[in-house]
Amino acid sequence: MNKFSNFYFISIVFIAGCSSLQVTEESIANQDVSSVTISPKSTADKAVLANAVVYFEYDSYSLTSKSILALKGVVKLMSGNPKLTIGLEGHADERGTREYNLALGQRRAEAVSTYLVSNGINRKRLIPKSYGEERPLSLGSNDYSWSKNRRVEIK
Amino acid sequence: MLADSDGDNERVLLSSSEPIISPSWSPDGKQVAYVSFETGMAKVYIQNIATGKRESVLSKNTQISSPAWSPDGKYLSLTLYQDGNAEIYILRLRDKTLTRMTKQFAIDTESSWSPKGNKIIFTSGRSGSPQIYEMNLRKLNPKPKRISFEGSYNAKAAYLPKEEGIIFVHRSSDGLFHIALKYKKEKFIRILTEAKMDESPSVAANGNMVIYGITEGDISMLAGFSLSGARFKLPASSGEVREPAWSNFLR
Repeated sequence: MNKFSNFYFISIVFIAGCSSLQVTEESIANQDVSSVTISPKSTADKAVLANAVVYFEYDSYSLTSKSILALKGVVKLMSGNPKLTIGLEGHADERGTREYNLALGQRRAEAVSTYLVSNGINRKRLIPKSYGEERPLSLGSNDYSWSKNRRVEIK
Repeated sequence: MLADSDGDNERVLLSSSEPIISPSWSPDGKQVAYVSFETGMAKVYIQNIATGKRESVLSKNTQISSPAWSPDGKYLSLTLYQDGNAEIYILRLRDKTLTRMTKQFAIDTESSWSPKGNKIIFTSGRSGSPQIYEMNLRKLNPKPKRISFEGSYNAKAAYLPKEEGIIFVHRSSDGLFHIALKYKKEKFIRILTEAKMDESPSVAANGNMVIYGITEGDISMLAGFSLSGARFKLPASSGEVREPAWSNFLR
């Protein structure tokens, strides 16, 4: 194997065996795209969490009418809880390059942020960011998995 | 991780339960820059290989990604998200001076330097789909020039070492992703690989070898080819690997 040259080294990213997902695959897989719901959860200290996922078309960061329906619920929740700050976590499916997908996930998070701001939510209460294709919810390489992975998690 | 070109001598540089992406060698082979999500947000770190010492390149409260070293090792091109959109900046490492290179509503990312350090190429969505653009750094207010035209997805380009062409990721009309080559002199592109989701090509300093990531079954591994036609695969001894990057010649 030395024919390539001894003078090279290769740096590679080694994939850890398990990654922890904050939302289980089942909880999303069982959820039809059209029935995205907002479920305000109360914990012991009465913190309120927006817990919603909105989905996107391939290569797109436009909000669908279904997404807007879900986001209306988020606006309502945030208006009723003025101290609530939420993270908008953008994701992409595995197709395409990792860095472009990181940027695409960010555009999706920003699209959600822009909608919420235009509906009266202060930008300071929103933290848009992206994981690109690095945290898939559904692990297959097929249309179903991809549609579940192109998302913004609101939490 | 770090390994010899035949995959032997593996050493772990950093391990994290959060994603780590986009490794890039310093030209002297002593440091690696990469993106880690360990703080919950993408940030670029530089790590000294011998000592293991590492630092975040910029203390800004924004996502930072896609690091690429200039050939003289003095600069790092980066993607910053401080306006909410991916834009390319060049960081002078000596004093951390940041120069903004792109200002565009669309995504700009995946910058990479020409061998002489006088140009960068990057991926931009400004035409409506990801395409490759080139920018001459010697010009005042350089304007990006589109250099990929075939198909609706061309991304993550790198120059060949004599700048005679570029290697990049191309989506074919069947929706599959391949590594492609375009020589400057030619009008057409050459598709060089044939799996489904080929990604992350890295050109060796001799310009003849390209290593890239493939998925076989559900397993990610590395594969490569020489421009003269030889092909090889480098499955990991355990687990999966992805995103290879060649170092320079080390003396």
